[in-house]
Amino acid sequence: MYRRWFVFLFAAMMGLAQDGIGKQRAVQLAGEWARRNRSGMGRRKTPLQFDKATATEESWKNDRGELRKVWLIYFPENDSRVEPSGLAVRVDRETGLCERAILE
Amino acid sequence: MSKLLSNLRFVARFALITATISLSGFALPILPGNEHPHNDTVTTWSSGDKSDPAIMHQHWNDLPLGVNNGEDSWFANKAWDNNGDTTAFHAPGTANFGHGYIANQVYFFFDAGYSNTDAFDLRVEEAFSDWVLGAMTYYGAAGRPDVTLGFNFVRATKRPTIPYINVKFGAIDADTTGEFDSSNQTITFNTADFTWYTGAAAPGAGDGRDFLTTARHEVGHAVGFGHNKNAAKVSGSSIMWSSAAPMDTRIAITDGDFQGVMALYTQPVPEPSAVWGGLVAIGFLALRRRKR
Repeated sequence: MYRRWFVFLFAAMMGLAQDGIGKQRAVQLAGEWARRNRSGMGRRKTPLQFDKATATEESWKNDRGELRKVWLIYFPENDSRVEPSGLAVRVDRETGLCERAILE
Repeated sequence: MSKLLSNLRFVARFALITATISLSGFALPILPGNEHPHNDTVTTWSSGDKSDPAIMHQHWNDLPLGVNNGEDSWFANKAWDNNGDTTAFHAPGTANFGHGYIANQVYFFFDAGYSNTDAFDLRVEEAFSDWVLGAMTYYGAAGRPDVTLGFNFVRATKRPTIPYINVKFGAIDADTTGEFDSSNQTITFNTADFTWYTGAAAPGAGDGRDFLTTARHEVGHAVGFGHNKNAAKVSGSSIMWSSAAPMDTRIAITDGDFQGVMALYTQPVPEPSAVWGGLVAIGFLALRRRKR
């Protein structure tokens, strides 16, 4: 009789597990990644603005054609342009792998 | 008793006529820029700072924006009119702002000259055309006789003397494929740090980064939009996504984007026939009452 409840519970847990890395953790990971890659960031000398970082959920088909659930993290800088001009990092919600996101 | 009934009938008729007049469009005056106050409590679209709920708006020109690609917010930057006034869109702290309405056209101009054999130039021109023709098609299908659409961008063959959209190619921030500077209405495409696919047909595997997709996106900024915050680009829900498309991918301008065009570049149409009909009916009622 309880078997079906176990099935539901298991499915719910799987659902939760699939959500993976949360927003705060993603911002933290992106920040650590940016610090490690600072030398590769070229002209970027301003400190990362953690308090102003925004994170949006995205589905991202990477260059290998794989569809991934990711967080897109912005560390903005003040600029007259329409879009945030700071650093954008894409964090894989499952693996935590970070890569620099190219902006439009 | 019959007097009471008669009075009630008069009140009912009066209410009916008043409702007819107010629904006919008479209640929506066309002011310069169509300024009107907005409801701050319902937030579907935003102008200015996305994080400030005080300047987020549900609609423009009384057009409810129901679909909105399922997003919680859009970010509108500036809208155009024929004079090139693009800054009157919203001033923080004020409730009123003007809407765009292009009665004739706004020009775009290639800063380094235009060539109809240059693939970059052709794709930029195509991007403008996609916005204008797509919006016209969407507007035609939407069937809104109560509003007129005023939206047109045309390539200038020589540098215009009135404000225009400047199109440039060259080096910008190395992380950025293209940018729109709202202070001088200039689109710059990064041709220094990226290798582009500039074909007319959609790119295939291995063709590289699609230029038309970026051109459509940057033209979207020039039209007046900021970024659509949560749209998943892989499903093509909006061209105004903030980060560059995956390689070998062409993204279309969507109905949700065109809905935004309708919201920014329409004016309500008053229906004088309904107004006159209402006035005649009031006169008729008044005459009938005087007879008794």
